[in-house]
Amino acid sequence: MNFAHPQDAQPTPEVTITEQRDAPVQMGPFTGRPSFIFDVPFPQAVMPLGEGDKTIRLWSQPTMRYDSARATVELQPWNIRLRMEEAGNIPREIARTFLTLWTKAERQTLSDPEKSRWAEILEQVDFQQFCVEHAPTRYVQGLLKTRTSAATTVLWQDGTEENVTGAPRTALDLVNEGEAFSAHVRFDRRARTAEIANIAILGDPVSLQASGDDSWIQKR
Amino acid sequence: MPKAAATKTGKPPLIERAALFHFHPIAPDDFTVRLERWKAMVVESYPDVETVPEWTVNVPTTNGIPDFTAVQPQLSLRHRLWKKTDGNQKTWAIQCFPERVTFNVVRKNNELHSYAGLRSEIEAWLPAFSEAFQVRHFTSVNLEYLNRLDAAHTPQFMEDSPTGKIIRLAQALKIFSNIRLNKAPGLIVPPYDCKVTEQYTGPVPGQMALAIKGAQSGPAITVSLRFSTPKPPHAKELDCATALERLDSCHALLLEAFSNVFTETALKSFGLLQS
Repeated sequence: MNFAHPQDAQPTPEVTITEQRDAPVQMGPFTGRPSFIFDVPFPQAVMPLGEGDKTIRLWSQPTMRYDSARATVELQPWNIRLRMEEAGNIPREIARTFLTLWTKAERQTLSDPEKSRWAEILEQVDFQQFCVEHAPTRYVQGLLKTRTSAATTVLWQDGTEENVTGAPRTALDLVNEGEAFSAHVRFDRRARTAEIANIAILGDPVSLQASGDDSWIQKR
Repeated sequence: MPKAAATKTGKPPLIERAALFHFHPIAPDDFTVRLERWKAMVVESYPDVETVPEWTVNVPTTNGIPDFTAVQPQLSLRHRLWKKTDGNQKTWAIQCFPERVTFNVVRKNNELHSYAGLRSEIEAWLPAFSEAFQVRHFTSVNLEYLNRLDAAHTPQFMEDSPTGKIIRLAQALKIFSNIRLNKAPGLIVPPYDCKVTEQYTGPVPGQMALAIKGAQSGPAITVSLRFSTPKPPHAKELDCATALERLDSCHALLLEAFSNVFTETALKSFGLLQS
């Protein structure tokens, strides 16, 4: 085993906490605070809402104006100004600003300055994605056709067949192969299942037919 | 070489243990979303969330002249989750990055946490982390022990000098014990900073790094010992169980290194060797 590869020569990042407290970055022997203004990208384009299942996605990383004399960062058109050490709160502030203006837009209570700011913000945000993520769930019925280690195949009531993967797939664990079910489902912009809740097991199609059930599963 | 006894029986000046697990980088957007889910998963145990901004400023130079017009500061965020402990002390932390995760335990109220404690914490959370962030394999493992020599932790090595209090490094650390630049004996004064790295190709390949760093204020130094297993392409991918086994090997090697870095006098004063 050797370490001749160049990447092994790179320094390993600091991992301890205590040492960092003792070693703040030194800029140099300045007298007074030097005044510099820079435009710096904020290293995140996705702003989480809640537990990450809903987000505000920007088309690109937002640009912050870093003012060394005031020790602040400022984001426009979000109208956010924070102290440099609070820059970690930017995702929260962006989310708050967006939700506040969105609510006002829904209620048609935006002031004129807010309208122009909202228009500028909408140019930076994937609003379609936001609307899809915030759409309410729909009541649907489906038939669990097959289950493999990779995906669970569902035939939905509109006749489409989907391989459900990821987190929504685990919600279907209670349903057996060949069983019909109902659920509240949220679909993404490509009409793929993004969330499943309130699953009810309807049973197998044969027994449903015997009981005179008139749900879609008998009419297909 | 004298071998130190198990650290739990002595009082080494250990102030922090940090275990680091590298993995293949997660795309930034995916990392943001998965981090929020992870926070929700661990909130009962690690409710105190810190997002620490870290600024990097590079000033390019041309022919030795700094070009301030080309300065581009960069911001990165360090996501740190603290465990709630008795007395609301910040003692246990998990730090998440798009290509690594660290588990830290910091000494508080003079309470020294054992490696076994850190290991069981990692054993409990690493598989959950792996699932939440969809990390299939880890690529390398580091373990770092940070020791501090100062008036609070090692008063036995403090000494008054004409320039104020200093640390008697020659008595504490072997690396300083044979320094004699002139015939007349002198005092070693700050700065003490130095680094050395040793490479191993034996049954546990990797690098052992020793870093000694002076504190910003007061007569104090930190003595860091870190063992890092090789990174790809020299390493195999590790599942959680294998990564923990590697961590055990790192711990054993760090104990050995500790007893070789500190002098016999120091080890005795820490209660790790019989007087």
